[in-house]
Amino acid sequence: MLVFVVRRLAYAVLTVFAVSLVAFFIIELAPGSAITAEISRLRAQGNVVSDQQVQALEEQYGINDPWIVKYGKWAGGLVTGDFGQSFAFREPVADLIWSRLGLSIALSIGAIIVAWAVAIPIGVYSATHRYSLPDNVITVIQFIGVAIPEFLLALAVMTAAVRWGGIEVGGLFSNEYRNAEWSAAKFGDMLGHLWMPLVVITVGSTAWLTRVMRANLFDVLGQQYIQTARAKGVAESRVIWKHAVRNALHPLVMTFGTTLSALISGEAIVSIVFALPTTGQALLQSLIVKDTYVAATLLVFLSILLVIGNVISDLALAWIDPRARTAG
Amino acid sequence: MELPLVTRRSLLYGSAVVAGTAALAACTGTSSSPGQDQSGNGPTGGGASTAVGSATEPLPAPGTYQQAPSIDPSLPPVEERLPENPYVIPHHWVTPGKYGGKLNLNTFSTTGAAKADSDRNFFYGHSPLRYLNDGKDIGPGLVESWESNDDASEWTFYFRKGLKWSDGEPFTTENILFWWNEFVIEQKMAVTPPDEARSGTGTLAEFTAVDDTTLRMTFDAPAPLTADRMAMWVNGNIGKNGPIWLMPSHYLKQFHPSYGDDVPDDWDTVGGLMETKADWHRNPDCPTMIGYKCKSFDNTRGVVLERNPYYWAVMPNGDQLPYIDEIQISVVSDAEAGKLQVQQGSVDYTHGPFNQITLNDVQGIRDSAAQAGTEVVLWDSGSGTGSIFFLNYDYPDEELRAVIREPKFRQAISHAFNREAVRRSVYFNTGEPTTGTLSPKAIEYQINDTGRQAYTSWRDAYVAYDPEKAKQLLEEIGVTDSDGDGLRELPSGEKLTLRLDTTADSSQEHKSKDNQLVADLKAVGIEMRINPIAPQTYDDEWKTGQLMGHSNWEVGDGPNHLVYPQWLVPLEYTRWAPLQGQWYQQLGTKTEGTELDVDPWERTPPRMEPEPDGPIQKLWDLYNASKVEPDEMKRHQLVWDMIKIHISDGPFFIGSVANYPQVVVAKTDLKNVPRKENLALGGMVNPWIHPSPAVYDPECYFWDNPDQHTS
Amino acid sequence: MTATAQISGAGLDEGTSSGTGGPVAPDSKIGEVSQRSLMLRRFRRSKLAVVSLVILLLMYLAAIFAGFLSPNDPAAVNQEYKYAAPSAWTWSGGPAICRVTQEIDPINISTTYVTNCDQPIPLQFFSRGYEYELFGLIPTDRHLFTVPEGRVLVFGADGNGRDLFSRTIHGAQVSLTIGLLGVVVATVLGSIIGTISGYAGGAADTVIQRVIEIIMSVPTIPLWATMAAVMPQDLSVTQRYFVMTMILSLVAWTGLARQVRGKVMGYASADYVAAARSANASGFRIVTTHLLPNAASHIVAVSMLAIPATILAETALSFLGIGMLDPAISWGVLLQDASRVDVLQQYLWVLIPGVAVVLAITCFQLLGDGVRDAVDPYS
Repeated sequence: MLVFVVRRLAYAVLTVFAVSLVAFFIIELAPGSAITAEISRLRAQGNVVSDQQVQALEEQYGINDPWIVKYGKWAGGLVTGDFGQSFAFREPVADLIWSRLGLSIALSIGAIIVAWAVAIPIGVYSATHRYSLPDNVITVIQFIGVAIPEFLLALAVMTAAVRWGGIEVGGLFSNEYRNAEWSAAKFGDMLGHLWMPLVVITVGSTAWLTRVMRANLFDVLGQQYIQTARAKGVAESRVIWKHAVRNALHPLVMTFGTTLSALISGEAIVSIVFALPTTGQALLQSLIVKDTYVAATLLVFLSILLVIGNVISDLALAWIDPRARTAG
Repeated sequence: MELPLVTRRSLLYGSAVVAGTAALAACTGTSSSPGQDQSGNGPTGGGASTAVGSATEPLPAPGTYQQAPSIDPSLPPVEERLPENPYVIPHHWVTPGKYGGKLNLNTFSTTGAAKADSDRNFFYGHSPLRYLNDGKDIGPGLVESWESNDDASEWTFYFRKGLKWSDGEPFTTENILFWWNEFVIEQKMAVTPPDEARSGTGTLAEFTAVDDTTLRMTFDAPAPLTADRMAMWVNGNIGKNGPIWLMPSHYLKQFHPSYGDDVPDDWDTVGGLMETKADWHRNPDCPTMIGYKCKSFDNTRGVVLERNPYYWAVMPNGDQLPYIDEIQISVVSDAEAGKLQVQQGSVDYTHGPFNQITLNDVQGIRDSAAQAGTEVVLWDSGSGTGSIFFLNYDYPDEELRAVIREPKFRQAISHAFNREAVRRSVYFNTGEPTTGTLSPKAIEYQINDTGRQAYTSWRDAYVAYDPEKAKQLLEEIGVTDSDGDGLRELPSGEKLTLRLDTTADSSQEHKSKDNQLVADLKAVGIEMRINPIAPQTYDDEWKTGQLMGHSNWEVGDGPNHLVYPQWLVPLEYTRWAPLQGQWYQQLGTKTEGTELDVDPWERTPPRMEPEPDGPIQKLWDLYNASKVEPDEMKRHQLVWDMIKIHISDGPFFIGSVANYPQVVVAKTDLKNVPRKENLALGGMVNPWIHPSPAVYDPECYFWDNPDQHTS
Repeated sequence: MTATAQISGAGLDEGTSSGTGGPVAPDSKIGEVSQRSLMLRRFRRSKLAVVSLVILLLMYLAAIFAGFLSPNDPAAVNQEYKYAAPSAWTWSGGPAICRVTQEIDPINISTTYVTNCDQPIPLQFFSRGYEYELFGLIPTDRHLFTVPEGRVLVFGADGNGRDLFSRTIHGAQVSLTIGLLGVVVATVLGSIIGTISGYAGGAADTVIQRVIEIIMSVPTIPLWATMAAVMPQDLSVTQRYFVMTMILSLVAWTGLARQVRGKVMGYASADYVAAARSANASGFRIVTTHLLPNAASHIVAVSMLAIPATILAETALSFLGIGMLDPAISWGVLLQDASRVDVLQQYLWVLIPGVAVVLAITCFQLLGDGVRDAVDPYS
């Protein structure tokens, strides 16, 4: 087991390194630069930007270095915690990430908890009441849940909340609390702003997890040891929850990593619509304006998050199922 | 009009002196009343004022002053905090207000609050001079009065005496020389010299501090536009909204290696030490000269501003400004979410153009206005064109370039373009169809009948929607359908496809206009393809001259054609003649005269000499003459001559609808927000150089019920 | 909705077998009935899947005959119909539409439409309209239905007065095929790489698995966004379409490759493969004659389930402004137009392409489920 853990962790480190190299390369491959974007913006406002000024900016930002030099600088800093300076956000990349990562992780973990908490019971119910009316309704909702583009759902929910709910939308806080000290009321205000994006992020994953759960449980319920248990006269609820559900959970554990990836992607898009200051929003924005350091650092951070997720799910699986220790 | 010899500058200068003496009289002798008399002119109660415009003569100092109750009592009394002659709000529509309350603003920025330049456009207090009456006039700001010699080559600026930074330290000319010597001359923090510091021949001025409140700029040649340019922009800060001009050197010296200790080597980089410390908008310790100062800053949440107790502006009745205690500016990273917040009423004041709120959004905002307690206010954009379109005058392909340079070709496009359709769809039948001019509010169009005629003849030159005429013009230049496929070919028979290279993030109104234009050109047999391009590469590609058509801009630019002449005359690469503009830019540099045997598009930077008797050379000649012409009326004449070239050889850029309104959304309880009827020219929102709403002094906005606006 | 979940998770219902390589009844023969007809029979039993198949076929037919079905040129702007609601229908010796007049209030900044059904405009069938090329080849101007004047707007109009009905079915041409084509490319890639990985094992397997892990370690949307940003700028609509396809499939193949590897590893340990090997059959022959055919049905099922993710990804990228872009017409482009507050509040019909997206994806899911149940009844 120890060997497995060590090998798994070594692979994880290698993976993160490779991701950083490839990500940086691809981002640098894109044409243009954050400075060009900035200059266009300034000019559109009517500012006079002289060539001299452009040159000074390019020099300061090292725009014309070859990518491997930039990678060296950046990766060197990465190890020591100095992630460079964001041109687009005008702050050190480290500040940018630390101020946003908390919310992103909270949203992702919150979404996972909600998704599992909703998907498992509904999946169990669905599998044990197959083809009943509620099961059919659940199935339809699941399919539609997976099928609605996230950005559209987010905007629709937000618009509806304003029109009919009178609920405040956009950002994390109301005017009252935005710059106030932390308090219970402020926390409550934040939750009031967060539940809607959380629901939207979760819809797709929940629907999909419910389907997986339903299918797995149904398969497990058909297996012989369940029949045996039933024949022995074990109470039905005990058969389902103690024997069947536990085994049906394996694949769910295995998908932890992929679920996380999906949630991170979803978080990015939903945060854009809800105007939430998350890493996803910053990442997509920095990719669009080609703010290399921000984009590359965030990609690496999210990858680390994913790799950790994968390691956790692998370890959990190895712990549950010894056969997995020899694989991959 | 009948007194063309009295220039605006000399008139204002004279009046400033008169006002100064009047104020002096008020201070030294006579009883307390002049201030009250003044306030009696305007409406005194609540209710909307119907008064129009702003006083061009500075109002006398009220003599007695009131201050906000929330001001720290340990500070010196208000009379000592104010300068000898404070700036008295000259707008006729303002009424004395109430102190207190909080104002919530949104600032749209996808990359955080530090980059939200738009909210700096609310505060005009760092500008040496100020535009009044929508740019028709220039009045005193930090500078109380100013004068120049006969050929406008030496300018002297007299700053108000007793001005103080928000930390109570005196403002002196040292604060300006710090910027000039340590940043402009030393080229630190990517700062470059502003136009107002160059003479008509392009050489830099010499800055001399005569004393603590007197600054002299000496040029080697006439620099007639110096005062106009010093009114442009809100200035201050780190140079994002115009040149910096003044820096709180007493505070900032500690971060400069020549004065401070342990200053890191990269102190002057983008986002580096100096930039973050000198930015009043993000550094609570940085002193300001505007009505507010930073209280707290968070890049993801936004900025909170609090009252500057040393602000040097007062109401005519002696109330020290600002009225409102605190401004909370929140970053909203998605425009649509911001619109919902405006509908909901969680934003108290919204300047539409800064938040992507356009005429399309008015319906939704009006629908919820009663509930949200808001009101839609429309100010004139002052746009000369609305959404525009222009072809690259220096396109590499020889035959295509020849066609593009043929005026009749561009005139045909203009006649084929159904502007009424765009006016209907994008601008809700507001504004006026136009061939494309500079801002109709510009002084050259307002000054007299000749000017008004210059405007209408340019505006109407090729505005008529006349596809038949367009076809006829195209036939005349040999752009005919030679192979019978319904589409026109080049004179040589080669396929003609125009490409409209536009940035992928163009806003809705530009896209609508583009679609209409494509359909209209197809109707006269010209194929045009829209080609979306990533915004971060557009500028680079336009510079190389490889792009063919440009679409997502507007022309407005300035209460005066010459302070921002880039649309009128190609002076740099960003506009309709990129390579020739670059040529002008390189004149007098070491690049001039090199690479003459290289293909123009292969040169670094790509550039091209104008045809000796072509329109661009003529424009340059006229422009060069205007730069050293001290007489204002003669400069106007030169501008009108340039316009004639735009009519005879143009249109170089093709406009759609001029002077449509821009949207402002304000709470009904917020007072002193001018209506279009109050503004001298109905507003001039678009050009950032005429900074709206800063020109209307948001520091004098107040809550009718301040108690209801404390969060 | 969440793209990765679908691609890599699609087959996870049988995930227990893929990781560990448990053999799944490779070549069972039940009576005299062939494997194929057995699958077909099982598939027919799933009514939802059959209905979905029919709906999808109809959608593809509509996409193929888009020009014929469209009464208006999908790119034709007409500002007199800016955000006009769907036409009001009436009867006048046949189906007919009411006239609408646009009224603009420049003071209140609003556009309203007055509908007048007194003099309806009758529909004409198999009539002449705008010119187009059927199947991209045959130039014609015949349309299923048109109106002699005005505009018939089945789904209403967008902000430039363009016909949303025409745009939706033209958008299907891009969106429904980008998913299919992307998945085909991904399937081919995934099958080849997965087979190599599973059959060869050893170093090749390790390297491939590491590469897959790296790709899977980057969140999908940002990865797509990164690649889309690299896309050359001056692409024509068609080129852009193909590049988008490649980008989508570049991510999608990884999950498939893992599935295939698992299957191949399972079969490879089966007796008949060992027999073939001992008979000195070449590796290539073993793979092509024994392994791939056996894995094929499974591959098809998994691929089916990957299509919805690519369709959704296309819309998400357009929303971010880095996918297909106006003037191209795809469902993503149409939904980008719809993702505005004023549209959601006042012009709900602009969301109709969204209904098409949801319908298509739901059908693909149901179909994929049906196919999987048919080919892999034991999973």
